[in-house]
Amino acid sequence: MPVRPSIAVVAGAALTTCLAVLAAQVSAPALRAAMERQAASAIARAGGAPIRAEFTGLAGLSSRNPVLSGGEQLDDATRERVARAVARVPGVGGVRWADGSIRATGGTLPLAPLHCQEDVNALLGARTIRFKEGSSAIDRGSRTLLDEVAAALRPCVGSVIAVTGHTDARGSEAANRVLSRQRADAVRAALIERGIPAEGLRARGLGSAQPVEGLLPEDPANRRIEFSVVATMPLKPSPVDTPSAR
Amino acid sequence: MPILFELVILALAAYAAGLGLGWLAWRASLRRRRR
Repeated sequence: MPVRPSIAVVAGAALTTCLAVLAAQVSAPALRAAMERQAASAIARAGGAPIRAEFTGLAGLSSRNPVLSGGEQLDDATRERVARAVARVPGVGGVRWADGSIRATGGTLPLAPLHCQEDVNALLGARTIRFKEGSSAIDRGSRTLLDEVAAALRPCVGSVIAVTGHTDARGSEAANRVLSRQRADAVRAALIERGIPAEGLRARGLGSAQPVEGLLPEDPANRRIEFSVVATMPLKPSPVDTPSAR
Repeated sequence: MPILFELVILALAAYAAGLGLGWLAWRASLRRRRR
């Protein structure tokens, strides 16, 4: 019996899809297990023991793009090193952190600190971003300071900038952690409003874990927001779009 | 992107390439028969 060619083509495509799904059912778990094993040893070698790499993508299916979680108390340089080590495992695609949008690739990018970090530090050395007591609402008087911070960060657009909230040691540590995170988020949102791209800003709260050097942990002067340029992201300028301040 | 999708896309691409090559071969053989 003759079959219409279009039906034969569609049936062939369906059969091919079925075969691919079947092949994935067989090979994906093994591939994933191998990548998980290698990623775990890469993390241990990079000194990020509490960090876990989850190779779970859409709808819980195995994926090549792991999401890293844990290790919040580690410094940014270690986290960056761990992400790069995981990204270098054969078969692994892009790496992402569960708490932010920072991505890492296997290539070695130079970590070039730009002068904007010093500009921001100079601004924040003289004045501080103030919040209403026990809340994450930014004080009215700090708005001009935020404008200046945004202007100082603009040359670093294209870099990953970490916004870190700190509190003093009074009150419960859990509440402090939440509050410092909310305050960092508030500052991040304020900077986005001022034209700094959201994908380059990462907010986190450390509570009272890192008091200012030379100060008692209970000192109110420990309540602060810090900015640091974590990594320089590769910019791909085109002739009409040069990487400069917006 | 899950590995499953990668495999499906790869398999369908290979299938489409096979179909295209087969169609070219079939057309060439038709021409030869006509001559």
